[in-house]
Amino acid sequence: MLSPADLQALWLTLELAGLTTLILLLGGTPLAWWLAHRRGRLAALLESVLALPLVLPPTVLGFYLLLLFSPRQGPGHWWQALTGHTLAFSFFGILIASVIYSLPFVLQPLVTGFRQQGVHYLHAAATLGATPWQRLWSVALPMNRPHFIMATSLGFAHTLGEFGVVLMVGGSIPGVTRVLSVALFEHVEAGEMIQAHVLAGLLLGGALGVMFVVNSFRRRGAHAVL
Amino acid sequence: MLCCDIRVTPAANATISASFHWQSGAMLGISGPSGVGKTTLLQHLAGLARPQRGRIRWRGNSWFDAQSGAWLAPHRRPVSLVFQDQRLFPHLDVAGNLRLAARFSGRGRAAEQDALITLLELRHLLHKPNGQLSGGQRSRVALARGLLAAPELILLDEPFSGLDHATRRRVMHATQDYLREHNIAAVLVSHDPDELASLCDDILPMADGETAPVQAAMDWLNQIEAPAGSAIAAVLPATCTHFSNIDGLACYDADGNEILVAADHAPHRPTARLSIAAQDVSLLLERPVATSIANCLPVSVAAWQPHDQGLLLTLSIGTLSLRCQITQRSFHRLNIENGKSLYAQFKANAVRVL
Amino acid sequence: MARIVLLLALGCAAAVNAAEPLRIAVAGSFQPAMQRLVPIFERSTGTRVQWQVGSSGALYQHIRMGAGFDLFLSADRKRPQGLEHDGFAMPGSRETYALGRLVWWQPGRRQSSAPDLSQFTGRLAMANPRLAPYGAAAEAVIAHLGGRAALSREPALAPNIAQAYQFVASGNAAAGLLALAQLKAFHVDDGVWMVPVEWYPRICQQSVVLKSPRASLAARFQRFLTSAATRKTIRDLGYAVPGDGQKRTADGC
Repeated sequence: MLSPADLQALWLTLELAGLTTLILLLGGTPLAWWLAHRRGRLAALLESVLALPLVLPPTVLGFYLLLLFSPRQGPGHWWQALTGHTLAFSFFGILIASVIYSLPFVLQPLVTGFRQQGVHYLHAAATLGATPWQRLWSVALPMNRPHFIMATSLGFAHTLGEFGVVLMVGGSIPGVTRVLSVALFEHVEAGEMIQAHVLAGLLLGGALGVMFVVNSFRRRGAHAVL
Repeated sequence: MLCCDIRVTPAANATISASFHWQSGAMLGISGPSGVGKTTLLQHLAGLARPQRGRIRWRGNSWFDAQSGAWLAPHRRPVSLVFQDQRLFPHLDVAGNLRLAARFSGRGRAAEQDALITLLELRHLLHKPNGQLSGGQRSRVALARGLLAAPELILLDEPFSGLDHATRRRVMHATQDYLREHNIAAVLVSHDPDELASLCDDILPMADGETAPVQAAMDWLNQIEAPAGSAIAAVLPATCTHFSNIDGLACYDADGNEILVAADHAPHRPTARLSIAAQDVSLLLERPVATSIANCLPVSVAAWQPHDQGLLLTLSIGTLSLRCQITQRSFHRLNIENGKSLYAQFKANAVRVL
Repeated sequence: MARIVLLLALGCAAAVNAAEPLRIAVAGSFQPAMQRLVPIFERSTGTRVQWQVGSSGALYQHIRMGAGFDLFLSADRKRPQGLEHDGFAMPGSRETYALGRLVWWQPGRRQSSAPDLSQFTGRLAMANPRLAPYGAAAEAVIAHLGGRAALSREPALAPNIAQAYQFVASGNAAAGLLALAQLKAFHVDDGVWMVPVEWYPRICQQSVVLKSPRASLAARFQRFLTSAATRKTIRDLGYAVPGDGQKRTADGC
């Protein structure tokens, strides 16, 4: 049913979505913690900036990334000096793009979760002798589980379907940057409708599956956290 | 051992100034009207907030000192806090809450957890999630958790709320026993004078955002100004000499005086504080021959003052005192004068065991 | 009486049609050319022209869905062929209005002869051969230069030629196989090498008159595009025009 090229695109997409989500969870959790417990202008400004990818058209982001990745200056230049490759047209480049683009989808549920918790239970834990690390690990994180599930699912699903940004900085290189959504686009443009249907069906099925997971935990989460 | 001299300005609220020195004792009660700052004070003692000025010292260790910048984080202070709103960890059941408390504090091995579960009647609740617990059950779990984790001091913020009368008595005394057994000091905040009266050795009165000096509980209880909402009474420390269900009476000894108390008022405990309301005491010039009133003690008049429409007398029996409320008319009819010997009568039923 | 009414009706229709502007769907790459040519047409014929740019694929779909265009200027020949075949266009109205010219652009390197792929270590940008005629042409050029194997890295494929240009202009791709018309539009002449036309299949840009009441007006625009003066303009902009030293192919390219 799937051509070898499309199968390759599928694995690549799963790899990209998985890595992006993992990076965002590891980096996003402490960031969400900080944002949830901080007041003041700096935190508010940062939160707004980090939410930008929600409303930014992907082409705008892709455009700026293309400039950022350019080996003529800045990060693109350092990367080329370090590795001999450009950031554009590389897996690492689209990984960066995915992390930026899916950031709010992972960060926002986490921030909401931590914020809803407030400090009450953390105070209780402190008076029982819990160190700050224990408070995070044994109270804040487990209490936030429904939101973690949501953040993981949304981040993963969003990256699965990512198209515009990858198209602009990826270069559709098989096995490196030709993700499922780009493969689908190419099939449609080339008039290969059967393959297009297969890939679209896959993406739709994947998204549906993820949202099902999200909603079932959201329902459960409403009871779990009193 | 607890030395506190702090000034706190909570956001948008009036300043609270707490300056006291608690020398020694098992339990210090903080009394005062609601909203005066009792909970705030506890939270600052626990280290959950930082006062603007002052010092807090416990057994010679400095927990907070504004001048030197000393600050001991809450998890490092040898104190645990039982919150008014319990704050049971919602993602764990009752057993999980206790286990977590044991892990955090590094105390409370399985045997101790087990003892507390029995003591506070939590056995049948162990695997219930928090959402299914009643208010009273939650209070007991929170109390167990705090007791488990408390190394040297425990702060109790209305810990017995939600408990019905009988359960409250049992839990209060169970707590007291546990604290004594493990040599843990306690500070109790309660708006219920009976709770304070029953459990505390010392009282820290709070009013208008300020604390008054620490008083011995007996002195505080026997002061002329009754705590708000209760009738003026005399409180006598007593030991139980005899408990009998047959004639429905329990017998207590208060400094050599025998006092009979209705058995269903009396808990099965060796010592107790007996509260006798002034309005329940009546006076006689001579010992009655036959009367249904169980208690009749020889007293002598120590002092009196106007109260309401009548007079409030302070009568001494040995080293203890009774209060009695009589009308002007009775005062003159009995020819009351300083040092006069009389008999004070009160029913067994009228005696409250705190 | 009936005849008078009929004549009046036809006259009204004609008048109404004459008042309606000519609606042209234009492939995005031809936009700079249209900007120069449309005012000339409007002045010389007195008709208003309303033109809309988009990707050839998108416009193709819209026309099939019934968007009311009168003339379609595609960037390829496949789509006008499709429209003619499926009855959306006037039969026999397909015409080549421009031929794309492919160039090799490597900024910062003077190019006097064919690039040596074995010496080229950077990333090459081109349009996707499956999606754009410029891409198919680029693929043929690479074959000429030694094939994909001669390239040290996989080429970066862009969905269209405009994006391929962006890859090179931003510096992310060291070189690209692009349209001469693009480089002319951006006034680039450094590092450009004209690829010999024999190396790649013709990039045929064809127009087709659609089935509409203004078909005759649309045909007029087609003829305008092939007039001598217009052909000169189109050449200046970086295209070749039919008949420019190349034999016409069977389907009029």
